[in-house]
Amino acid sequence: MGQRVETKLFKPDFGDCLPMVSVPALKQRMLMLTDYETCSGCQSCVMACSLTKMKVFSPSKSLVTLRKVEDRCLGVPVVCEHCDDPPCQAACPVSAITKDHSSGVVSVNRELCTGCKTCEKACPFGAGTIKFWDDRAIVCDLCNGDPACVRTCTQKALMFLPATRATVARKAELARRRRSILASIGGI
Amino acid sequence: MLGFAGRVLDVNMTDCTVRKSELSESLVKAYLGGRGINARLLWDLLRPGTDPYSPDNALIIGSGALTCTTAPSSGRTTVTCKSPATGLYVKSSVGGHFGSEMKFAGYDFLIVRGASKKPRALIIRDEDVKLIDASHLWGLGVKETNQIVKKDLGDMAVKVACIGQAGENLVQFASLMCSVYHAAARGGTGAVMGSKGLKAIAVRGSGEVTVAEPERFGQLSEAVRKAFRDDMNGRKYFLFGTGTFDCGPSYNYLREPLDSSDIVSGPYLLKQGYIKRQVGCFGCTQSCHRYTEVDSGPYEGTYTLGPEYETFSALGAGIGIIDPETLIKVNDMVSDLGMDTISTGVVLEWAMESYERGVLSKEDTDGLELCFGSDEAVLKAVHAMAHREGRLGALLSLGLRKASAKVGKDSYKWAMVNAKGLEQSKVDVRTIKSYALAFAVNPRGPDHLHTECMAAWGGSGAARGLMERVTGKHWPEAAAEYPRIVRWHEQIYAASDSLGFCAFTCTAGHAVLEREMADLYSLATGYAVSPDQLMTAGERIVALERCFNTREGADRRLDDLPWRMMNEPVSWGRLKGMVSSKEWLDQMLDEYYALHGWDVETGVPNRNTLEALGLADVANKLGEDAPKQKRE
Repeated sequence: MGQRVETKLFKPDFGDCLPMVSVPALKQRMLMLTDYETCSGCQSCVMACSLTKMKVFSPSKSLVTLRKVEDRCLGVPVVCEHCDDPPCQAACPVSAITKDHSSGVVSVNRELCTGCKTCEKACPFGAGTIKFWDDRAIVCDLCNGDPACVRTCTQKALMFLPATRATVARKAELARRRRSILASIGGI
Repeated sequence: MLGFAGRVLDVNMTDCTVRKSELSESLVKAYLGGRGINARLLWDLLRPGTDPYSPDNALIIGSGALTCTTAPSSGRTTVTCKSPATGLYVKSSVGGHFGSEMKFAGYDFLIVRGASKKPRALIIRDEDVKLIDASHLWGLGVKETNQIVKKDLGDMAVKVACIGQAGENLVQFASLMCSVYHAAARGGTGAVMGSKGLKAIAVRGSGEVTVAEPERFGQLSEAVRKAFRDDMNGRKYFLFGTGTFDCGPSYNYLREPLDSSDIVSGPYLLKQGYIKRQVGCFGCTQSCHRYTEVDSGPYEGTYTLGPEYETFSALGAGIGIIDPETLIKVNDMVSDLGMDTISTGVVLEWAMESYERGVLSKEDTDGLELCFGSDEAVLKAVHAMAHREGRLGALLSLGLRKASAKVGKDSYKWAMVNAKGLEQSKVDVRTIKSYALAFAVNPRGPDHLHTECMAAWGGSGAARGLMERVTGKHWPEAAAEYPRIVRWHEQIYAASDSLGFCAFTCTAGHAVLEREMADLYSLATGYAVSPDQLMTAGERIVALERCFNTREGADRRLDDLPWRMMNEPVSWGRLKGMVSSKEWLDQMLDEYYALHGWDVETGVPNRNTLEALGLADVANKLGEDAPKQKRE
């Protein structure tokens, strides 16, 4: 599963990555970057998300998940990466997942979703990026371009930056490292 | 109940029963949350004269009223019980993620009573609460206990509060360790847990916390968070953690503090590459903790959280350890054995000075050359203390009050412990007068975490402005108004502890003060609380804690400082000659009691004062019980 995904999306080589986004679209686009190495594990992002989306404080009602290895003081935030060629989209048997290439946002049509969780299994970052509320999938919608989790993160472990060549390369590198740490702590 | 999970979990270790009850609204309105409600529960549950190690003592863990929310740095939890070290009230505030998980599981407060003959672990998974056999965990350190509990439950996200070997062996300064490294350290909370046969509490919650006005609450939290991060004080903790301060009093206050720029301190550890990560408690804005690793040398592979300022000072400069790797190793050992790093360091300082003075012989130290700066002796002594091994371990594990009384020979003169019986935290109160008064009147003993008067240093415009507001006098005259400064800090500390705010956001960062706290609390709970009402609730909590100690026989005589702080002036530098004499302290105490409305002769709260605070029932009970108790 992991193999199939990694080949295309987060290769530091721009060749595979950039052509996915047209030049005018790139200028308007923002990218979510997640750097686990600066994460302090405070869970503020998790709470900010559940407050924004569900008006309550609850990790299970947040679209950000924090995986932790407590004795090593390691916190790994997991949130939808809004991949350019989403493996979840490809995997969805009822085509409920779509990718808007102008805004870069991956979204789920909850009317169509059957809650089969195939998308969760296809995600290269493991469980936690896609949540299931009322047995239907729901993913981060980037809060209409001003993510609450990013605003709350004082550590800058979550960043929302304009899509430049440098940001794309950094996102790819951070994603690679995060996949590797998630694999080592049993998160994938 | 808005802002709260709304329930109290009451566990009886003797017959392994568990009772869930509703959190009373009147309790919340009078005592805010966490520390305040803990204090009231303890007052109601304990009879005066209860032996701290008896099944009748209650160990109460209470999460903050705003814990689980986005209010900045509001994830603190308070552990309260009767202390074996002092025989008096103790509350110990702890960070980490245990309190928040408890609240998500549906419980704001956990009360542990009774005692089990067999080691047990308490497992809480939402509604499913049970006590299981923990024989396989008994004898293990904190890290290993955490690993095994998580493995047994098959859930890495479980949050664990446990004790190490020190708690099992009833070492008087054993701590209760939450989320592996976060210690409810002071006053022997871990020993009380050990006396109940409770090795660990594992909790996992899937619930939620609702607030009255989510949108406005979110906006205000974000505004406060941003203001704090833009502020210089806030950035200081963010950049260097608590190690940003100097390394503090050295060699049991005998020598000038070491220049921390090139020895053990936060910036030095960062420069040398020992610090690997910043770590934050639940909902924290500043992440003052530092995860450290040793990559090479004799202690290669050691990893721990910290050292913090107090550890730098007590287990570093205090005992003459200036090698960062040894300090990281000792910090790791003490945390894993489940002991308070302050008390461990202070007890060792006393033992080292006693040994160098010839008051303790080599026979007393089991052959150890227990001199200042001896790495090897420190590591062995720490192990012996936690396991109560040999003559040295048995002596030091008693805590400083009992150990110095046992050894005699004037050794109380260099024992950094006051009449209450808690080892003093690492501040030279001969020179910092606001701290001197605060330490003397602290109900748990001489330390900073009831009343840290950092603003009295006047280190920033905000601090000076605050002091002018509190005392009504212009800076620098304001700085000499110690009783007023201490009283204000006591009140706001009680409120911030009850709401779950970290002191670094509140009295050290000055970002979350009465106004912000009252507004956030009101938006969360739906009760309209003004800043004045919040401070009155703080005063009520302080008075109740005082009454608890009064009921146990404490009075003005216990409000003092260690002998050295009152009788041996500083012998170096520009502060040479400074001391906090008995006469000075007496004068301060008179003013302080009068300000509180307490009896000046005895330091006991007056009936009128208690009635005005809505504590008439406490005054009545005090009248019945107080004269019967005599302190040993």
